[in-house]
Formats: sequence, C-alpha cells, structure tokens
Amino acid sequence: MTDDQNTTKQDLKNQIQALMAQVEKENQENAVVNKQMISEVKELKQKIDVIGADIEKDLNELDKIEKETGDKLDKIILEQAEDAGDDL
Amino acid sequence: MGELPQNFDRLKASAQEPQVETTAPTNEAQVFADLNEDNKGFFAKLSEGSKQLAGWAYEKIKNTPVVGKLVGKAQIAFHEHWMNKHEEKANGLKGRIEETNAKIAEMENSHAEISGALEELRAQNVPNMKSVEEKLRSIENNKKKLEGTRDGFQGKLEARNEKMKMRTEKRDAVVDEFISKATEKLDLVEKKFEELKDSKNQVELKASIAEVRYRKQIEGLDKQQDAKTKIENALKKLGMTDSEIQKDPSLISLNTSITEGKKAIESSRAEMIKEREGIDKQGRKVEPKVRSFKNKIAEFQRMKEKRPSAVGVEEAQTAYEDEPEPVIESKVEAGTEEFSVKTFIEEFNKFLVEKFGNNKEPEMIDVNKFTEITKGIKELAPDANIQFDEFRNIIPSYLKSIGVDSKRVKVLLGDFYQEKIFKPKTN
Repeated sequence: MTDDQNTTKQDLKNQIQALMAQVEKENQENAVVNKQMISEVKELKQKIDVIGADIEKDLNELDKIEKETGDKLDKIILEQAEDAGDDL
Repeated sequence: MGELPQNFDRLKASAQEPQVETTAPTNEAQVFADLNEDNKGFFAKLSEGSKQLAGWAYEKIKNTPVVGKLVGKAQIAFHEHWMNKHEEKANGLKGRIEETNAKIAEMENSHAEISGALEELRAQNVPNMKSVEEKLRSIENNKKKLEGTRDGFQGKLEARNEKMKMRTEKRDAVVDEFISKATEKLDLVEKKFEELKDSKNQVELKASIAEVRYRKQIEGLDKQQDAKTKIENALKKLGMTDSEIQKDPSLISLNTSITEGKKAIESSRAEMIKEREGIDKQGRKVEPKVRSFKNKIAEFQRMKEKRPSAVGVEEAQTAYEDEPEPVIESKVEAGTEEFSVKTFIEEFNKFLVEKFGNNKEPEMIDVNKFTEITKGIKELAPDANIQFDEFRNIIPSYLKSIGVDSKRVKVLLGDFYQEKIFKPKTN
C-alpha cells in the first residue's frame, strides 16, 4: 500500500468516525423527541381515560333515571288500569 | 265538584274510536316480568277487570323494542283509552244523577200539586185530611232519600274526577322529572364528550405529526447508511476485502448504531400506533346513547304537549335508527413526492376556491393558524417538505383540533390530489 493509499484509508477511517458521531447524535435526538411524543400522547390518553370513565358513570346514571322513570310509569299504568277496571 | 278533565265532552266522539280489546285472558307472567317488586304487589291486588286492562297495556309494551320501552310505557300511560274509560264511567254517573234529579223534580211537582189541592180542601173546611198529609210526608221522605242517592253519585263523580286529575298530574310530573333529570345529565355528558373529543383530536394530530417525524428520522438514518456504503466501496477500491470490511470494528459499530437507531424509531412508531388505537374505544357508546335519550325527551315533550298522536309505539322507534353520518374515506393512492407544507396548504386552498367558488369553506386552512398550532415542530414548519399522504393525515386531525369536524375533508383531499389541480412550484 502506497503512502497516498494509506492517507486515503486514514481519511476514510476518519469519515467513519465522523459518521458514527453523527448517527449517535441523531439517535439521541430521535430518542428524546420520540420519548417526548409518546409521553405527551400517554398523558392525553390518561386524560381521555379519566373523562371516559366519568362519562361512563353519567351514562349509568342516565340508565338509572330511565329505570326509575319506567317503574313510575308502570305504577301509573297500573293505577290507571285500576281506575278503569273498578266498579262504578 | 272537581274540575272535569279537559276532554270530558269527547265521549260521543270516542264512541267511534276503535275499542280496546280487554277480554283476552291476562298473561300475568308477561305483566310481572316487567314490573318491580312494589308494582308486582300492586298488580296482584287488582280486580280481574283491572288486571285485564293492565294485560292489554303490557301486551302493547311487550311489542316495543327494548331501546324504546320507556317511550312505549309513556305512550301507554298517556293513552286515550284510560280517559275514554274514565269518561264512560263518569258519564254513567252523570246519567244516574240526571235520572235521580228527574225523579226528584217529578216528586216536587207531585208535592206541589198535592199541597195546592190540600190548601183548597182546607179552605173549604173539608175534614180528615190526614191521609193527604201523610202522602205529602211520604213524598218528602222519598225525595230526601233520592237526594241522598244523588249526592252519593255526585260524590263518586267528584272523587273519580279528582282521582283522574291526580293521576294526570302524577303522570305529567313523572315525565317532567325525567325530562329535567335526563336533560341535565345529557348536558353534562355532552360537555365532557366535547372535552374527550378534543383530547382525542389532539392525540390524532400528535400521532399524525409523529408519523412525519418517524419517516424523516428513518430517512436521516438511510442517508447515513448510504454514506457508509460509499465509504465501504472506497475501502474496497483501496484493496480491502469484503471479509476485512465486515470485520472492521468501526464499521461494525456504525452499522449497529444505524440498525439500533432504526429499531428504536420502529419501536416508538409501534407504541404510538398502539396508543392511538386504544383511544378509539373511548366514548364510542356516548353518541348513540345521547341520541337515544334526546329522542326519548322529545317524545315525552310531544306527549305532554298532546301534539297529534301518531304515537304508534312502533312508529316512535324510527328515531332510534339514526346513525351518525359516516366519515367518507378517500381511496386515492398518493405518490411519495414531497412539497413544502406552505405549498400544500396554499394549493389546497386554491383547489377549494375553484371547486366551491368561494373562500368560505370550513376546510380552508389558515397558514398562520396552522403554523401556530404546529409551532415548535420543525417537520411541519411552512418550508418543511412533507409527502401528500402525511398532509392528508394531518389535515383532518388539524381541522378537528380547531373545531372543524368535516366529514368530507378526506374526499376533498383525495380529489385535490387526483384531479391534479395541485401543480406545485418547484423551489
């Protein structure tokens, strides 16, 4: 291998080192950004879960209101049947 | 006397209405199935006639779809059949009162005639008027008895009218209470649902932005990979063998870094997809349920206001079949060419103006607002390049995040691409 070739080879080795540094820098930056993005989404998802559970509770209460109203209407229907079916 | 129900005078008209069949045997098991314990107890104490009427009512309710049971019950509670029955009975009592009054009047006439005759006879000094006087007393006694009977009927009529009035008030109060409680709860649910949707839109937007970032990050590492390949080729030209290159520690290390970097990006991408998928489930039940309750409230209000009763129990169910308008998807497949965010926005706005002839369409994108929302995200800066697919994914999420819930935006974006209205200026 000539001196020139040795110099070129050393340049290439240096380029590899520079490339390595660049890749590591990018990997680190990507990791930070990606972690941040996931964390933001997780935070929002937590908020969504809390609101979702809260809404679920309200929907159950609506079901309860419906059930209670249904029972009251049953009573009214039966009372009306009683009035309509009794003797003069 | 208690105030008569509003449609008390409709008896004649109601006689022409279809008569409710109440002679069918009562299916008690069916009636019981839908009642709570208190009501079951109440039902058990009813007379056979009343049970048959209840059987008729629950036979109708039984045929109502589960989702519309409450409305079905309210419709039965409001059914004119009960009023007709009441009128029938009240009129029966009124008839007896009139009949008794007529008899009393007859007696009064007889009493007046006999009294007149008695006076004349007394004036003529006719002796021994005792039998006539007894007759008068007998008439007076009978009249008193009849007045007592009439008062009894009158009392029954008043009691019946009062009871009917009370039932009507109670029924209206139940309906009012439902409307009030359900409306209050629905308002709360809708408010929370808006908050939920807002957070979901933010997740969508963040996930769409993340996708642009992941692609750019992979592209960045691909470029480093290309640079590494060039170095390897140069080393080969200098006489290094493939085996030597593969064993070179620096190159092995570089290769590992690139591969690991890509793996980390893919792993983050997979996590993001997982997180995004999870939110779809939240709030899925809300809209149909809110719609169903709103329909119930509307039905209750309509019944209360006694608007023309097309109250067929079955008919009322059509309202529940409404489904939310589906989001129309575009099947246009886009290429991978990139243009700046600003160019995409400007060209899409131009497309909308050309298509609709105005610049007021809700899908129009304000560059400044878009830049403000995506501030700090260098991949979405106005001069950053993105692909059409990324633009197509981001815009619906962006529009939702600013309160524009467009069902057609995906189709518009597809048309925008497909019709080649988009003719980007090269930089």
